[in-house]
Amino acid sequence: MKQLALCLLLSSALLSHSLFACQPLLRLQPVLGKTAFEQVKTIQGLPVPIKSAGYLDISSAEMLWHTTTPVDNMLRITPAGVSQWQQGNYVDLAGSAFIGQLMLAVMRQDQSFIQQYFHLTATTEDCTLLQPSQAPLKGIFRDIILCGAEQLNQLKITELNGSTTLITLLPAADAP
Amino acid sequence: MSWVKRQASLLCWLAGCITLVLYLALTLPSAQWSSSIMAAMPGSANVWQQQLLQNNQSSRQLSLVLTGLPLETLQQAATFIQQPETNQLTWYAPGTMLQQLQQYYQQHQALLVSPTQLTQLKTGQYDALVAAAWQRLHSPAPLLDGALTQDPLLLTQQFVEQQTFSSALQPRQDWFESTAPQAPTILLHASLSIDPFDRASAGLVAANLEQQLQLAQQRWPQLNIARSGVLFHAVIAADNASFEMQFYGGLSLLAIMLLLWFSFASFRPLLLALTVLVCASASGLAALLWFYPQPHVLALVFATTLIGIAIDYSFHGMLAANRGAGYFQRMLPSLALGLLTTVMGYLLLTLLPFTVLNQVAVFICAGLLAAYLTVRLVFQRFLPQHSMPTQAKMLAWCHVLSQRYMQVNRRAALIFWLVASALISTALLSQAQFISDVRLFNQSPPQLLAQEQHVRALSRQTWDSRFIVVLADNAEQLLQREQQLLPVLERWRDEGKLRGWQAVSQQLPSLQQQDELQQLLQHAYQSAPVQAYLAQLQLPAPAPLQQRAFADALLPPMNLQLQDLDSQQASVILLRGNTLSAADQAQLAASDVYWLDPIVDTNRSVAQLNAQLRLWLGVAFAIALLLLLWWRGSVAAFSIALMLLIALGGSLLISQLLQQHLNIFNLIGALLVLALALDYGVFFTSDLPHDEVVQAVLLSASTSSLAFGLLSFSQTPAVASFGLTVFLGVMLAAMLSPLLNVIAVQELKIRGTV
Repeated sequence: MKQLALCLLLSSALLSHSLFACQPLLRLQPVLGKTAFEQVKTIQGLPVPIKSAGYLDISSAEMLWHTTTPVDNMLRITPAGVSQWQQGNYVDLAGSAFIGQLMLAVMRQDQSFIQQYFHLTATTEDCTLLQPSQAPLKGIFRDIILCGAEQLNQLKITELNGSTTLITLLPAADAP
Repeated sequence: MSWVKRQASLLCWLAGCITLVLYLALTLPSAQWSSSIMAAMPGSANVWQQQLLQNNQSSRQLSLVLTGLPLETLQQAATFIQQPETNQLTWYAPGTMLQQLQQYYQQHQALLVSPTQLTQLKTGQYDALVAAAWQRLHSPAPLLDGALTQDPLLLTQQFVEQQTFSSALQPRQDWFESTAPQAPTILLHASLSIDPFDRASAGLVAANLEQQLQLAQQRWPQLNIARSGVLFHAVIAADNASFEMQFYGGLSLLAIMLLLWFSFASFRPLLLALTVLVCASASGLAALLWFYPQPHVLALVFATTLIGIAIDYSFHGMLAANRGAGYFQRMLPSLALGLLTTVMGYLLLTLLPFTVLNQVAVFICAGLLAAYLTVRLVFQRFLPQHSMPTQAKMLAWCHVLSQRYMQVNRRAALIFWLVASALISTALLSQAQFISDVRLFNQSPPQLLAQEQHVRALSRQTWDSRFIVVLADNAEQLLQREQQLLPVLERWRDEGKLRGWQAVSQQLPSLQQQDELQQLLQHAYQSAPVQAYLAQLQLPAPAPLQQRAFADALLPPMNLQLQDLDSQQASVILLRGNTLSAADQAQLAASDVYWLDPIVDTNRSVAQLNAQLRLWLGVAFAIALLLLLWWRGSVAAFSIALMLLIALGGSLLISQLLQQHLNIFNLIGALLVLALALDYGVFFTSDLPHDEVVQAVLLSASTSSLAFGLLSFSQTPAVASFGLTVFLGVMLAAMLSPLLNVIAVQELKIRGTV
C-alpha cells in the first residue's frame, strides 16, 4: 500500500513536471497598438546611461519606434529589418533584419520564433529569461529578460559586451 | 618493288609500329591532358587580362535553393546536403562570415566612414554629425564593441548600417533563409577549389554533389532543389558532347564495318582498314604528345576527323591492291598528291593562334603520313591480286553509275559548274553571316536554365558580366585610383545608368584617406558641437588612431576583387544594372582603367579566329591548286577548283540557310571537306579506271556522310554545325567529282595530251 502511494506520488510529480515543461513559459499578451516607452541604455565604456522616451505603434505587419525625447527619431521595424526616417524617407539599416524580427517577436509574443531561437527559463513569477540558442543572436546578446503580469511591461536586453538596454512599457493612456 | 625491298619495307613499317607502341606505352600513362574548355578558347592578347580571367572566381561559385517543405525539414535537408566534406567544395557559413565582418568593422572603427559623412567632416557640418550620433545612441539596436571610446561620433557604426545588401534572404549560421512563412526557402552557397571547365576534376565534384542531392531527394520526396552555377552547365555540356561523340562515333564505326562487310564479304578489308586507322591514330597521338607537353582533349575530339580521311586512303589502297601490282603502283602517285595537298593545308593551321587547332594539325599530318605509309607498305603484301571478292551487285552498280556520268555532255557540265560556282560564291559572299558568340556554342537544358534564373532572382546578387579593372603598382595606388573614379560612378547612378557597384575602396579606404580622416576627426573633436556632445557623454576626445587598415585584412569574397598579377596589382569593380553606352565608357578613359567584358573579348577573339580561318581556307585552296597545277596541269587544276568551290561554298551556304548563321565550327568542318574533296578530285583526274574510282569514292563518301551526318543531330550546337557542313560538303563533292573525268580527263584525251 505504501509502495503504491509512493508510486502515485512520484507519478504525479513527474506528471506535473512534464505538464509544467510542456506549458509555454510565455503567458503574456501581445503588445498591440500605441504604447509609450522609456528606455535606459547602459553602454559599455560610457560613464553615463542614455535615457530616452517615446512611443511604439505596433500592428500585425510592423512596429514604429518613435523616440520623442531627447531626440526625435523614428524607426520602422518589420520582419525585413529596421529602417530609419531620414530626410523624408525610410532608409534601411543594413544587417538589422534579425534585430527587427526579434523586437517584433518579443512585442507580439511570437512563441514559435522565441522558442526557436531561445532557451526559456522562468526567473521570477512575472519574468522569463531568454538565452539565445542560435546564431546570429548568440553572437550579439547574452540574454533578454521579459517581465509582466498579463502583458509585457519591461524588457531588459543584455549584450555580450555587458551593455544593457532596459525598456519599460507604459500604460496606453501615457502614449501620445 | 622486288621481294627483298618489299620485305625490308614491311620490316621497317613493323619496326615503326613497335616504336610507336613503345613510345605510347611509356608516355601515355603519365601524359597530362588539359580539359579546360576556357583554356582551349582563344584568349585576350593582353597578358594581364588573361591572368585576371584565369584568377576569376565567379565561375567557381554555386548555389542551391531548397523549397517545398516546412522550414524545419528544409534545415534538416540542408544539413544533410552539406554533410560530406570535400577539399574541392566549401560551403559558405554566413553566420561565421558575418561574425568575421563584425570583427573587421570593430577592429577598424574610426577608419571607415561613409562618403556623406566624410563630406560633412570636410565641410565642418559638425551639428549634423552630432545629431546623427545622438539618434543612433538612442536606437534600441546594439552598437559595435568599443564604439564610443574609439569612434564617439559612431561614424563606422553608421557606415556599416548604410551598406546595401539586396538579398531577399536572411543569413543563418550555415545558409540563408527566407522570412516568408508561406514559402520557406533555404539558399546554400558554395565555392569550388577546382576549375569548373576542367572536365576531369569538375566531373568528379559534380557527380559527388549530385549523388548527395539524389539521396536527399529520396529521403524527402517533396524537396525541390534548384541549381545555379557554372559547374552544372559546364559538366552537362561536357557530358553531352562526350556522350554524343562516343555514341555517334561508335555508330559510325559500326556502320563502316557493316559497309565493308557488305561490299567485300570478307574480314580482310576490315582488318586492313582497322590497321590503317590504328596506325594513323597512334602516329597522330604520338606526334601530339611529342610536341605538346599538355595536349588538350578537344584536339583529340576534332582529330577524329582523321578517321574520315584515313579510311579514304584504305579504300583506294585495297581496291587498287586487289586489281594487281601495276594498278596499285599507278594509284600511289594520286594518293601521294592527296596526302601532300592535305598536309600542306593542315600545316598552315599551326600558324593560327588557337592551340586546339595547332594540335589538330599536328595530329592529322602525322596520322595521314602513317596512313599513307601503311597503305603503301602493307596492303600489297596482305592483299594479293583478286584476293578480295567484291559484291557483284556493288561492282555492277558502280559500273552503271560510272557509265551514266561518262555520258554527261562535257560542255553542259562545265557551264553548269561555272554558273553554279559563280552563283554560290556570290550568294555566300553576300549572305554569309558569321557569329562569334561563344554562348551559342553550347546549350544548357531548359530545366537547368530555369533553375538558374530562379536562384538568381531569389538571391538578387547578380553582377553584370562587364566590369571595370584598375591597374596599379601597389594596393595604395589602386585604392586611390578607385576613389578617383567614385564621382563618375555616382553621377551614372544618379542618371540611372548604373544601379550599383562594389569596389574594394568601399570597404578599405586608401591609407591617404585614412590619414585624412584622422586629421578631420581631430578637428571635429575640437569643435564646439562635438565637444558639447562628448561632455554630455563624459567621454574624452580620442587620440588619433595609429593603426591603419591594410589589404590583407580584407575578408572574402571582397578580397577576391584585389588580385596580384605578375608585375602589378589589379582591382575589379563589379557593376549592377549597367546600361552605359560606349560614350559613357569613354569617360573613364585614363591610363590603367579598363572596361572588361570577358564574353565580348572572347567573342572578339573568336571573330578574329573566324576571319583567320577563312583566310586559311583561301590560302590552303590556293596552295592545293598550285600543287595540282604543277602535278596535274591547268585543265585538271581548274576543274578541281570549280568542284571545290561548289562543294565548299555549297556546304557553307546550305549550313547558313539551315542554321541562319555560320560559326567557327562550320569553318573547321570546311577544312575536312577541302581535304576529302581534294582527294576525290585528285583520283578522278588520274588515269585510273573511272568505275574503280567511283567505287572507292562511293565507299569513302558513304562512310564520311554517315559519320558526320549523324553528328549534325547533336544537341551541342558546335558539334552539330561541324557535322552538318562536313556532311553537305562530302555529299556535294562525291556527287560532282565523277564529272571531273568528263570535264578534265576527257578534255585532255581530246587534246591528245593524255
